[in-house]
Amino acid sequence: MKQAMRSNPKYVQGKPFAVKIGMFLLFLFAGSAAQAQVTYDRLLHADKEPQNWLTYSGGYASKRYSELKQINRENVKDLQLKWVHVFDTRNKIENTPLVVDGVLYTGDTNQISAVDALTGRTYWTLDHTVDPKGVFVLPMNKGLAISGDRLIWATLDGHLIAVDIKSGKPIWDKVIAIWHKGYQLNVAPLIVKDKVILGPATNEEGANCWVGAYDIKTGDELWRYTAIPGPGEPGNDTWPGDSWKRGGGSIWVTGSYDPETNLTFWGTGNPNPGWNGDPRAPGDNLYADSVLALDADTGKMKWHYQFTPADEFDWDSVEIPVLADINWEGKPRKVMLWANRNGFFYVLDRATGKFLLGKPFVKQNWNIGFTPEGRPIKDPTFKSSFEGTFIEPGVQGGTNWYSPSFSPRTGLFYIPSWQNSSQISAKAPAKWVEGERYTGVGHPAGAAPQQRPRHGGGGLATGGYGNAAAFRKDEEGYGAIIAVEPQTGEKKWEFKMNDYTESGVLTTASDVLFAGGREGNFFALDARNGEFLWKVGLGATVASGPMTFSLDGHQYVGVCAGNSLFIFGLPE
Amino acid sequence: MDMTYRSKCIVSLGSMFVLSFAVSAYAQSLPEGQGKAEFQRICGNCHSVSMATSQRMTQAQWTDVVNDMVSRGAQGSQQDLDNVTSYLATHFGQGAPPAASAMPAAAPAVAKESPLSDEEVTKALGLIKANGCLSCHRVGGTGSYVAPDLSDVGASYSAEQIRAALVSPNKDVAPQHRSIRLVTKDGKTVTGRILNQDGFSVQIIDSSSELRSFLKANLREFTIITTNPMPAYADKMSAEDMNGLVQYLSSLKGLGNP
Repeated sequence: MKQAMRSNPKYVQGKPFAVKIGMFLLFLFAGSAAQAQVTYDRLLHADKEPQNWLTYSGGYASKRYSELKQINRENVKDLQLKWVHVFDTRNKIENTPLVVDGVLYTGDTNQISAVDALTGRTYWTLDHTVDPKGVFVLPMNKGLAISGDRLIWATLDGHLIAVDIKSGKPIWDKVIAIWHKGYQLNVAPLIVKDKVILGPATNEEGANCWVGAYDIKTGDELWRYTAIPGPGEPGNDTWPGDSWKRGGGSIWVTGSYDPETNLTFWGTGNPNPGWNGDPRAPGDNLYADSVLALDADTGKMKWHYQFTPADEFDWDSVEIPVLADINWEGKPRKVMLWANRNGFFYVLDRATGKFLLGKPFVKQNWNIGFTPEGRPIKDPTFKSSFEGTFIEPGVQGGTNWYSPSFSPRTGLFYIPSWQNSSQISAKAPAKWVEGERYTGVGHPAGAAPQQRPRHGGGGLATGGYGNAAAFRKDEEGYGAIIAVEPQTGEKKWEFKMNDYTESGVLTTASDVLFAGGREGNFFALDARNGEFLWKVGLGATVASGPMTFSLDGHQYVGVCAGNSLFIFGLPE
Repeated sequence: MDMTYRSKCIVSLGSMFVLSFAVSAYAQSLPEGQGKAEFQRICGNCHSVSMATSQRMTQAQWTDVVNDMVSRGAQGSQQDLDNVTSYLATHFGQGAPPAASAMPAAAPAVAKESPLSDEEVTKALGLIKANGCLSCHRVGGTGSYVAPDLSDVGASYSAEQIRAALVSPNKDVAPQHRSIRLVTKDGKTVTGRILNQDGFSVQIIDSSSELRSFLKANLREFTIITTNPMPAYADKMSAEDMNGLVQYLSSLKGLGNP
């Protein structure tokens, strides 16, 4: 470097040479500090650089909480739209963008982009054509992962692609799941050390799913933990005959990581066929509807907890494991907080998997208690049927894949919830054919319209008949952001929406909570008491987890609604 | 009437497709004459041509309508627009045959498989008027918006379903037809039908057929009414009249179903 400068007379004119060198080195240092590579150490301490948003859930503990506090309870009402990024799709976008040192990375199933976080101007885009022969019922992508010089993108049709962060060019591209065997990739991958961790989902096609680790340098598979155990493996005896071969156990959302125990936690989806347990009875159908605690280096299972044994109502454990350090019975305890689709809020010890608490956060009619070990005791009258069974919550659950949040300041856990949701669910005979839906779902006989599924469309924030929520009374279902005290499972406050919500929740160190819903509103609440602070109508469903970042001392909040990403900030 | 009803409130691609299909289907039955092409091109660009062809007006009235449309964005040369006015006045003037016979496809349309005579239609319309149906419902462009528009009821429901809804209406109204009672903070009571709502506001069409929106923060009372105000007509008309009314309503297929 020195020699190069000496050879260039421009650099040795004017100021003394040593000063010039110093300035240049300073410039170089500043430049590299502004756009340093995302190391494992940075990911470990993501909370120490709240100006960035480095992982899908904002850090390994998946709290979706930020230390930023410039936007506060007083000035949040002044938020203004700064820019919009429109995705090349008509799908609703479920993406949470990443922001690293002024560059925002976002995308969907067919395209990802690097965008200037200040202006929204695009640096580059990379297209991926999803195999049009594949019929993907859930064409969604939750987001990207970043490590070193590369982004990791898991595509709907089973590609895992490493992309150069500067050029948008693929570095490697591996097919890790074969779509025509019933697989799809929806998750934002999780980077732990030198590994990319993620798994495929099956949209009720009976394909057995797994959590896998892939070499970040090459994409080669390093370990795999299959959610449905084969013969000779523990848990296989919870599947009669060869029913385990078509068990499902999807990975729909990103897991978490606890560096102290080196465990990575992943929720698994429902057993297949989802609505008819007959082909897989008797048995609990492990490890469907469970959380798996896996050693991040080897993929060995340390513990598991099954939220819904022998599920027949699609109650995937499709939630983000939130890792919190809280006071438990007078002592600090490292726990996992989990609001499940089955309507219960759980607290587990994250080192051992010990069940600490299970309490409903919505109306439910399936569970009459827990054994001391934490096994749910099902109401004996609660069974699937061909003619239809009244279930609370409905098939979409008390919550779903929407990111919750935990604020260490308020000590509260925030759940995007479907209150008073219910449904008549009926089963039907199920026959497995590779690559076809294996649901066993039936149609309730003679159900009055009011008893049919009420979850509505959830696309654009339209009125009229397409929006069933517009005509609903509270007792027929509504959406709410609720705040739950982890120690008791008690609801501390509730913020009601008319329609249900698919929005994640973000909390910040200024005790501002951001969330949205199917109504198309994005809003801010006081995280301490749920008091309404601000809203904006974005015209289409908010089905993504909000995030925040800062640039040059200005804090911004981002959220996707419909097919666009909206970035808000305070007036300059 | 407690029915699952295809609301026209939703602007979806699907309904736009149906509408444009309908426009081209109507076009085939438009009378030939100078100005037909301009009429189809200029007027059909924004709305179904049957919106015009179901009307009967004088030359002066059609001139006013065309001028009004120009003020709303209709585009064409002066000669084009004169041709449109002249075409409408010639074929859809006050002396022209009524819409139902001149334009079988226009609303309220008559099902091809069971054509009703003019006499039967007139009688049914008389029953609708005499029984007060139009104080809540709407048929073929007249009546209230408070209850479901019946102009295409025959496209969604069988004669048996329509008869059942007249003879013994369900106790509860279908969710999408629920009405609402609001009391504002300054004490005004408003009733109407819900069109939309979110956590912060509610959109209704009130009993005077006005589209209105209220912030929930400005309301003292917000009540969704699920009971069905539809009276039972079993004992209110003769069996013959009931048959005629059911037959007429079944024949209403609306604009989207020529």
